[in-house]
Amino acid sequence: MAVASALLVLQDLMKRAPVTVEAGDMPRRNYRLVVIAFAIVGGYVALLPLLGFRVATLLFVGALQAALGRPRTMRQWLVVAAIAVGTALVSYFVFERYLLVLLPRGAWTGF
Amino acid sequence: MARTFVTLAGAAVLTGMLTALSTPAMAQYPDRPIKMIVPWAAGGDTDNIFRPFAVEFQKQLGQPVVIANVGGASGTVGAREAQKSAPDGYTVYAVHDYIHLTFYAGISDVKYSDFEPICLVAATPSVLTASAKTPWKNWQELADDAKKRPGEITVGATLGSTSHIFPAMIEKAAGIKFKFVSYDGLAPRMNALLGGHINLTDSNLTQKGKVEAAVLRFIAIASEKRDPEAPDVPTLKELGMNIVYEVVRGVLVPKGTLAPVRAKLEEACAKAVKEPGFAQAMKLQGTRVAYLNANDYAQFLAKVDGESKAIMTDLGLIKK
Amino acid sequence: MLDLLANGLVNIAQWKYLLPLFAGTFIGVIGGSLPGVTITMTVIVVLPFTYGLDPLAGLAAMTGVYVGGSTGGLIACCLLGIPGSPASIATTFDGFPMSRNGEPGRAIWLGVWASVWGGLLGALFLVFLTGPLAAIALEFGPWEYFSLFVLAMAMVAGLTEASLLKGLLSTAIGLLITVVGHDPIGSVPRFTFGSEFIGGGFPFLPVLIGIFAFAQIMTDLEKLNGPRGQPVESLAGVKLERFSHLKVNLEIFRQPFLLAWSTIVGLIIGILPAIGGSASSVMAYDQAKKFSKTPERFGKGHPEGIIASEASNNANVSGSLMTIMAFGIPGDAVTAVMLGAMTIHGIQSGPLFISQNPDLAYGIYAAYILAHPCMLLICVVLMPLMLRVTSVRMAVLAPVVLVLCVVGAYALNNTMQSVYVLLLFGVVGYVLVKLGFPLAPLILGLILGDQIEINLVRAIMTDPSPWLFLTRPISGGLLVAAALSVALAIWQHLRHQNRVAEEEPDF
Repeated sequence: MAVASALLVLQDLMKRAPVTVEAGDMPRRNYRLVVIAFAIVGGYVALLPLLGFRVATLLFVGALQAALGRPRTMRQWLVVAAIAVGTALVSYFVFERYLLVLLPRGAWTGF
Repeated sequence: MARTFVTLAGAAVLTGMLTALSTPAMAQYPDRPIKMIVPWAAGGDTDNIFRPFAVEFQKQLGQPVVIANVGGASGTVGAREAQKSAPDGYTVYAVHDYIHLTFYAGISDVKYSDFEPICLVAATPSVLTASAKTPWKNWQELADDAKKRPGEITVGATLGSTSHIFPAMIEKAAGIKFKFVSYDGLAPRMNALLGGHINLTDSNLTQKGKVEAAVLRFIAIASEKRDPEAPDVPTLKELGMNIVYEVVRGVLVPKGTLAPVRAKLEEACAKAVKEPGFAQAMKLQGTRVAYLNANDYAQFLAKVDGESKAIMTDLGLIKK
Repeated sequence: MLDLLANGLVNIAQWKYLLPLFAGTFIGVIGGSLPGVTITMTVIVVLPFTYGLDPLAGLAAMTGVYVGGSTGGLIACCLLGIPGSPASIATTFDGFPMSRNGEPGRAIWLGVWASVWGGLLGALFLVFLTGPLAAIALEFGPWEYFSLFVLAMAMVAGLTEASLLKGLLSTAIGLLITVVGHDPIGSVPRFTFGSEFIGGGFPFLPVLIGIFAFAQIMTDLEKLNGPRGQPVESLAGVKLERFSHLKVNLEIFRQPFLLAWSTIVGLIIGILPAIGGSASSVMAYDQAKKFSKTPERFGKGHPEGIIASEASNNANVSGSLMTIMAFGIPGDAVTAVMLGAMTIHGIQSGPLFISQNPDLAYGIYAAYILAHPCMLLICVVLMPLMLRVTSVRMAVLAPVVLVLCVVGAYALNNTMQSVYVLLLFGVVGYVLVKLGFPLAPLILGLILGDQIEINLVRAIMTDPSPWLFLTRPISGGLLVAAALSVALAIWQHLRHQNRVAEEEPDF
């Protein structure tokens, strides 16, 4: 089966090769941003059990927002912070109080 | 839109801070919700027994008891999760006899002694149940048929767990041989039994409705005495087999939980099981309330563990 | 029978039942629309409230959750490109492209109306044919299940005409993912490399959300030019269009066969335990494509795709209700919880349930039927609000959606394990999409992997003869159909290659 699939893939790729040159009309792909975003999510997931849901989520939402669109004015920073705090607390209250999900508490913070 | 959102978020921050400040760091236990790990899916037998228990338990504790269904791999995922949890009394573990069996079957390395006992809650007698598509009206006919064709009568079971051990004990006592087919959980077993894809299985009195409708037959019950809910079903003892097999369910906490916390939980458990509402709920689950305090439960666990090891060795299922 | 149903409807129309039904439906729609919050979770949330209610009121609330949840999932599908609940996976394939084409309203309302009609058609079967259909379902032993799953995979592998081979490989990858971890029969660890993390296996839900959410969000991030300061487009990047309910309904009823067939597919999958709404959505989608006059338009915002998926997942609910009504055996976690609630109220489930408790049984039927207009009303009120999501900036939307996904994965069984799986498959999903692998066959492989293995082993444990797969009539028929389906797919594929030039799918 493995041999068969390998053959099939090869055949498929050979057939496909000439067609794939249509990437030109796409907007330039921003792979750097994707890598940064994955790194931030990875950091979030790693910190979640250590810092606890509320703190980690606050940091994550703030960080990812800033990475996707760097705020420049004080006002924009405030909006970013407010959304981060709001997301962390609202999701915490909704899930913990109403949806009966006890979210992770921080091993470092106990919070 | 953005402005209202900010206002809302601001309000949320304030409320959050107030709540956070108003609860002192180390108050009287319990000061926040308690997680109860049920190592099987929602709607299963264990879940159905512990949900009514949690209702009474939280009344006694004064904090919500939230059931977390951590299913998977014959209940061992939940066992591992419970074992890893912080021993702070905010995670309790709803267990049944599988903990001994999966350990000796080599499926899991979590042992009952990785936990501290709180209390035993309930016991559900196993009932040997046959499909209505089989010809046997009673145990004798079944036993005679089984002797004629050893290894051909199929039994649906969660391999290595209670539904496997119970028919295996009958095999040994009656000198017959079944063929086991893997069906995890009571619901799939009932499906297969009704369709006649398996001949026998281990079930309990919750399936009474199907017996009344004549799509199933209760062959024998593994309790000391006949159950008033099903007085026509003979006990295995009456049939000459010395088997009493009940699935017992209790509450454990991770090892290292402080004594005062355990005492608090034990006290709440003792009161919860005495509530009439709980007794009623258990009756509907084909289960009896079987309370043991922490000390007695510890001895009970040690005894069951020894027995389980012996049974598993006898049956040749032991890997450890 | 009709008078019993009429009584049931009149009964349910009282405030003490209508209110819980409405509340349940509302909670269901909300729970369904949040990626990661499953219908099972939502129904468990409702469960404690039903303890104190009259049994029918409690069951009405749960039925409402089930119906609402099966519909609510489409909102996230159409607006975010992420399935709100597993049951609406296939809605994503055409619903999201349609939103991107500037018609989010049409996409959502096609879905909602298809849900309503599919669900109500399902109700006909539920009320009149529960007994016989559930009896047929019992005839399905392990052999029949195995053959059915083979058929399902054979059908779906041909789903993407762009590359049959990638479709097949995708299915294989899906199956492989399910093999990892403790095996479902003897709990022997496989492919775990001694790691406890891998030992737990890869549960379906976090894998699903990981693959879809990350594939979607990350592909969108690629298109954000320059992280610094430049304006960031919103996710769908479109304004609300004008749409008309009449037009949407005409669109659905112009193809009565599509609606009927999708309903039947959903119903059948619903009656058979342990398969569930996710499979019915994918399979109905595949069927729609097979029978369509314009299969090449699927995946680009074709209304037929949305109708098939949504009609089938609501019909699936009526199918699942059948087995608990007829035998008291739950086919999935939601009905298991409903059955638990019945037991707590002392109602004896089983084959005599309908004849012994006609008021309750027909009350549940009536609740199921009335849940649909309730759901429609809720959607009418909620939708303008929900559609606002399309105008939220990506920089805000992406983190919030990802937090929801993380919480949903965590809530599945309250362990970090699922969150790690989510992240792992986020990366895997993104890479697969970049390599041009279609997601539908992968998902079906994931859904069926465990079941196909369990049933194969069960069949062999019951009787070692492999010929039974062919000689048992239902099983043999299904296998023949599978062979025909592959042949048809190859034929369609060849025809397609001659007709249309290949196009790179842009997820």
